[in-house]
Amino acid sequence: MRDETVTGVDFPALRARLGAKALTLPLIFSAGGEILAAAPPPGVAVLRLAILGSLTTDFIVRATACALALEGVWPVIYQAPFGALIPEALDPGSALHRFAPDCVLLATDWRDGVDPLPIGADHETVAASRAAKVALFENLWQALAGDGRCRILQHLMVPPPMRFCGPAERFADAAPERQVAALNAALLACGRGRVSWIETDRLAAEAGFVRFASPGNYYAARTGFDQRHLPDYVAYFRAAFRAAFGRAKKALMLDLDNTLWGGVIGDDGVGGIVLGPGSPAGEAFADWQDYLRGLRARGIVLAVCSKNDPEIAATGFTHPATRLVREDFAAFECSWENKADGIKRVAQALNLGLDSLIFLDDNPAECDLVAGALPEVAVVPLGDDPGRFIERLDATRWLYLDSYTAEDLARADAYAAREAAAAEARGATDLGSYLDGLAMRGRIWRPEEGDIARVAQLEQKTNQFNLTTRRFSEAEIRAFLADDDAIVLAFHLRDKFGDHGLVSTLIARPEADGETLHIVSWLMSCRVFSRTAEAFILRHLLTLAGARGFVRLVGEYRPTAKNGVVADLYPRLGFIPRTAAGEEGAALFWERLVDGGNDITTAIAPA
Amino acid sequence: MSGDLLGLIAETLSLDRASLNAQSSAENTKNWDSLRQVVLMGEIESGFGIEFSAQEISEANSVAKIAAALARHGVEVSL
Repeated sequence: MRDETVTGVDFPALRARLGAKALTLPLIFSAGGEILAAAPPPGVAVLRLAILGSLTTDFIVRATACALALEGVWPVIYQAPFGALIPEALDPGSALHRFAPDCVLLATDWRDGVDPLPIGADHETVAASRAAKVALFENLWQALAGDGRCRILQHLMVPPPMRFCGPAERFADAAPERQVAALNAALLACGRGRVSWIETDRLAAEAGFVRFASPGNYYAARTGFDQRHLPDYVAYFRAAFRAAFGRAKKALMLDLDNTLWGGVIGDDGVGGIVLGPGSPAGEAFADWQDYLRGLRARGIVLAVCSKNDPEIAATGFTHPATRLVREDFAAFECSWENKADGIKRVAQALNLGLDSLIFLDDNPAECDLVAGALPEVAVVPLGDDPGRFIERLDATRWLYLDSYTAEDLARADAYAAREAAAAEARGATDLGSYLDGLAMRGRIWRPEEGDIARVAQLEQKTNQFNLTTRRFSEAEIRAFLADDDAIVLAFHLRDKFGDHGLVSTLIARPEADGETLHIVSWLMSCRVFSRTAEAFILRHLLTLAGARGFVRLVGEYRPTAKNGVVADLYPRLGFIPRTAAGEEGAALFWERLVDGGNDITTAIAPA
Repeated sequence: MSGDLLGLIAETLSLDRASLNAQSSAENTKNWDSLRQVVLMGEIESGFGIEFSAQEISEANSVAKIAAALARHGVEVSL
C-alpha cells in the first residue's frame, strides 16, 4: 500500500498542491500516499488519528490524510484491521488503545445499522433492535473517549439503495431506509457533545444513493462507497474535524460590487445597481443577501471589504430591494488599497484571528491575492453567477457546527455592539471614563447543566486569552463539576450596548498542601478583552478562596503562538513569580496571597 | 473521451506513460496494487462512460484484460 518511499516532505508545498484547485481522486491518492509514508515535518502540529470501520478503509485513510494536511495538521494515522471496529474499540489492550489517538474516526456503514428484520416486523421489535445498536455505540464511544482527551468522529449512516416495496416502506419501521433514518436520529440525540458527525448521508443524497453505493466496488473491494466521491468526502470530513476541534469559521469578509449586488455602485449609483425583482440576477442577489442575513442571525459576523468610497458604498444598502442594512456589518472596510491589508485591519478591529475569516469576492484576481498573502484566510471565489453563490459558499462546509449555543445565535449582535462600543471609545477622552460609561454588569456562578456546552466550546476555541490552552473536553468539565474541591467559574457580561453572554471561564483546584489554590484554566472570549473583566473575576476568586481557607493562589501561563496577550496577566493582577523564568516557551508559575484584592480595580459592577 | 488507455493508467498510477505498454500488468508495474486497481477501473469507467461489473473490477488487472473488458462494453482502444 505504502509504495512511495518518501522520508521528508515539504509541508507548505504539499498543502499548496492540495489546495491549488478542486481536489481530484488521483491527487488524493498520490498526496495521501506521500503523507502516510513520510515522517512528520518539524514544527508542524501532529494529530494522531485512528480509523475504524467494518469495511475497507484504505481510501478513507488517504482522504483523511489529505484533509488534515489541508487543515495544517500532520496526520499520524492508525488503521485498524479490516472489520475489527468493535474488538479494537472495546479491548483496552488493543493496538488502537496502545496507539493513544487524539481522534478516532468510526467509518460506519448502513451494514452496521440495519438488522435483517422481516419488513412487516412490528414497531416494538424494530425499536428493541435499534436500542441495542445505540447501546453498543454508546459503549464504543465511552471506551474510545478514555479520559475525554480523544475526540470521536463518526459517519452518519447512508440509507442502502435497495428497496422492497417502494412507498409502502414508509409505513414499515423495519424497511432498511427507515431503520437507518431512525438509528441516525437516535445516535445524534445521545451522541450530542460526545461525537462530531460526518454527514455521509447528505453526501450520498447529493451524489445519488445508487451511484454513491457502487455495488461493483463493494463486491470487488468491500468499500462502503464509490471512491470517486472522496473529494466531496474530504470537505465533509474537514467540517466535522473543525467542529470537533473548535476551528469553525466566525466571520465573512464580503466584497460589494457584483458580490452583494450587480454592477458598480460608484459608477451606476444606487438607482443603477442590479438587486431585487425585475431581473433573474437581481432576484438572485436579493436571495443571496437573505441567506447572508440568515447566517448573521445564527452568529456569523458580517464585514465588508471592498474597493470603494465608504460613503458611496453605504448608499447600496439604501436600495429599495436591499435585504441587508449598513448596521448588519460589524466592520465596513472600504478603501482603494490592497484587500489583504484591509482584511488584516478588520481582523484587528474585531479582535478575530485571520484563521476564523472567510473572504468572498466575485473577482478571481482579488481571491488569488488574498489567498497568496493570507494563507490562514479561507477564500471563496464566487464566480459570476449570483444564482450559485449560496451553493459556492455552502460547498466549502466552512460554517458547519456540531450544535449551536445561545452565544452562537447572539454573536453577530454582540460584535455589532462591540463595534458601537469601540466607536464610543474613540470618542471618550480616557479609558476610565469610557469603561465607566459602558455601564457593565458582571455575574459569576458555578456552571450548570445548560452551560456545559458553552464552557466546552470556549475551551475548544479560545486561543488568545487562554492561560494554559489545556482544552478541557465536555467530559473533563463534567468531572471538575462533580468534584466539590474544584472551583469552576462562569462569567457573564452585559453592558449598555447589549448582552455578551457567557464569555469567560476559570477552573482551579487545590494543590496537595491544602493551602494553595491552583488555576489550571482561565479563558475569555476576545470580544470582551480590555474591559477589566479579569479583575472582576479575580476579586471573586479571592473571596471564594478566602472563604475556603486557602492561603495563596497559583497561576500558570503556558505560552503558545497565540496567547501572548496574556503573558503579563498575572503580574498585572499582583502575582509574583513562583519559579525563576525557565527556558523560552516553558510554563511560568505565579503566586499571590489570598487577601481582599483591594489592589485590583474593575469597572464592572455585580449584576 | 479519447481512447488513450495507457495515458489514463499512467496518470492514475502516477507513472510515466512511456513506462507502460501492452504487456503491463499489476504483476510487473509499480504502484499497481489491489487498491489502485479499484481506483483505476473507476477512472476508466468515468473516462470511457461505461460501467464494469464487480468481477471485471476485480480481475482486469492488466492492460490486455482491461482492453478486453472495454471491448465487451463496445469500446475499442488502440495500444
